Amino acid sequence: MEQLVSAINQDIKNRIGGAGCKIEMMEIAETAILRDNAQDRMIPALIRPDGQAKPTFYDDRLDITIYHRIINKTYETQRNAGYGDGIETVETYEMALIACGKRTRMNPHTLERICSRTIAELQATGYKLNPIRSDFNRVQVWNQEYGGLPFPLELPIFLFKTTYRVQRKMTPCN
Amino acid sequence: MASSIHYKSCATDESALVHTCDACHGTEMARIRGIALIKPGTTITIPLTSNEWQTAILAGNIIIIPRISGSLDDAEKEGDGYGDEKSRLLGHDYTLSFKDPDYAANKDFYEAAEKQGWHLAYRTETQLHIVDNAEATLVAKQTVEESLDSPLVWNVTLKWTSDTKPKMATTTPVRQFFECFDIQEDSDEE
Repeated sequence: MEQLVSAINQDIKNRIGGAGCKIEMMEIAETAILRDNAQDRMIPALIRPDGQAKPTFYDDRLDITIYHRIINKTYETQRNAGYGDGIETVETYEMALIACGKRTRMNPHTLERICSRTIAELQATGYKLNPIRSDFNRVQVWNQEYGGLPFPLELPIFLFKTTYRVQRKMTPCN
Repeated sequence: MASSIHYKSCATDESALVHTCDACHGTEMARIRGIALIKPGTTITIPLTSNEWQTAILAGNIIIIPRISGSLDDAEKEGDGYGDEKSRLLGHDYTLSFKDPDYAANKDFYEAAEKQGWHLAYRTETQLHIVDNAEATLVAKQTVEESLDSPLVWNVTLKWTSDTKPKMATTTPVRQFFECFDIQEDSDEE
């Protein structure tokens, strides 16, 4: 899944093009706990193999930041499919892409269209991808991602979330 | 010398007909999961023996297609009846259809396989069904559907007619041959 998300990020970056935008593309964030004055708050963070975490907070030195989340993963077994003694199991990931940036550098709807088209059009062998919906309510998206932390984003900063679905068949090689 | 009329009957000894049941046996599950194409003239002994099959595979007399999804259609072949018979059973027309997902590498194989007749053995859950008294004709099709989501596979049919049923034997002695393998030349040891 990390490789697929990298491919999505690279494609989005290519479609945005240069235009002098400072872009940070991050991969799959998980939930980490921020201890703030003895109060625990959940925040998204990239957790490295050594256990260190990098929060995905908006950095105002950058024009656009993007990270992804795995919301859940489900399995469906199809007994009438498959070959030999095997049956087919399809893995489905419900994913989210969260984008934050400066309106002065990019229109959020333009960026959302780039992201959703990338997901819809990406050719990745063995994967089926499709965008599902986008949520442009900044406060709602913030609360979902940074529940508990006061909303800090001023009006020039946009924040949206695009949910998408990734499916692939389980094989002996994946 | 006195004579009498002796009425003939079919050679089948009806007293030998026995139906076997066993309360402990489970159900044999369907799907044709693998197939062996067997060159006519190749001896298949029942019970199956691993050595016999390995020898035949290495000689090219048995070709295994290990991983397929298939079914068998069995249609009765009826002919004219005589006397009080409305019709008589002449045999069965068998059509075995399967999909082989190993697509790209097997164009030459199926082209050659279509040019000869085959005996065959097909594998269900635990049983190998052996057809060694009729030659089957093989047709392999490369149907391509429009959908991006449809896998491209070989659609293969084998057809034969027989008045006897396929023989059956437990697959266990030859089960290992229904996995993906290739044949390699052994290097000469000095």
